[in-house]
Amino acid sequence: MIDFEFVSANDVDGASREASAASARLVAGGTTLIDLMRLDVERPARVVDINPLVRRDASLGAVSETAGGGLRLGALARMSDVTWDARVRDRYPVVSQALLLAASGQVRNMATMAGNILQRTRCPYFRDVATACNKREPGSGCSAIVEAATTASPRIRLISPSRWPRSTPRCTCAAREARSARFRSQNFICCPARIPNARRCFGPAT
Amino acid sequence: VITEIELPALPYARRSTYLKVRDRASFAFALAAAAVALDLSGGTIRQARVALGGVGTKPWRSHEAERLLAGKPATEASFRAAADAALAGARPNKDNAFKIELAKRTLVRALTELST
Repeated sequence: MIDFEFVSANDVDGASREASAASARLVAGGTTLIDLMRLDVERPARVVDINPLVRRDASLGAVSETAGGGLRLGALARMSDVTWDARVRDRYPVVSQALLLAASGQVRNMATMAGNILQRTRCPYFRDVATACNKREPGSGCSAIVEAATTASPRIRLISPSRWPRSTPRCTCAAREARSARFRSQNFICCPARIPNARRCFGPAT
Repeated sequence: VITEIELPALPYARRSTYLKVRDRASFAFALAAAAVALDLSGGTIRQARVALGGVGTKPWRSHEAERLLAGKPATEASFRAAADAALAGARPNKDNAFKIELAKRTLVRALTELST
C-alpha cells in the first residue's frame, strides 16, 4: 500500500490548480487511475476527487444542447448515461454504439467522458512495471519490441516468490532508480503483480 | 481540466454506425473497427465520415476514403475502393498483417449496413 493524500475539489478552478502539480492526479470514475495505481504504474502523492463538481454545476455530468445544434457531453457524464441518452442515440448513433461496445456494463456505469479521453495506452507492457516501457519510464526501452525480437530466448524470466534467491537484492517501489538501472541492463529476474500476494521485486539473474 | 466534449451539429450523423470486430462479443478490444456516417441523396453519397479503430495507436480517420466516397453511388464497388484507399499506406507488423484485409471488410460492411 502506498500512502497518498485524498482530497475533494469543490470547483473547476480548484481542480485545475490541484492538477497542475506533477504528483497529483484527478480521479472521476476511477476505472483507469485506480487500476494503474494498483499496478504501481501511477504513484500519485495526491488524488483529487472531482466528482463533487457536479453538485455545483450539474451540466458537468449531463448531456445538453449547444447553441449550434450539437450536443455537449459533460466531462463527468458516465459512459452509460451518454450511451442511453435519447438525443445521442437519435442524432449520433455511432457515438452511442461505440460507447455500448466498450468495456463492461459495470465499467461503463463508472467511467466518464473526459476519463475516456485521458485513458492511457492499453499496451500490456505499459501496465506491467516488470517490463520496459518508454512511455511509462522514458529511456527504459520497449518490451514489445524486445520480446518480439527475442521470442526464442526471452530475457525476462518469471519466477515464483519461493524461488527468489536469498541473496537477491529486493528492490522496493521507492528505489525506482535501481529498478531503472536493472531494466537498462536487460538482465534481471522479475516477479510481477500477476503472482498473487507477491511484491514486485527485481534482482540480477542468477 | 477537461470540462466537456462537444459533438458538433452534423445532421447526417443520424445515419451513422459503429462496427467492432473482436475475438469475443463482449469486454474485448477491437481487432478492427469502423465508425462511419453517410450523407445519402437517393443512391448517391454526398458526404461521408470514416474512421477506423484497432489499426493504429489511436483512432484513425481516413480523409482519403471520405474524398473517394463523395459523389459516388452507394455501391459495394465504391465502398471497396474507399476501403482500399483507407488502408493503402498501412504497414503491418509480423503478427498482425491480417488486420489490413479485416479492416477493409469491416469498413465495407459498415458502409453497406448504413446504405441499405
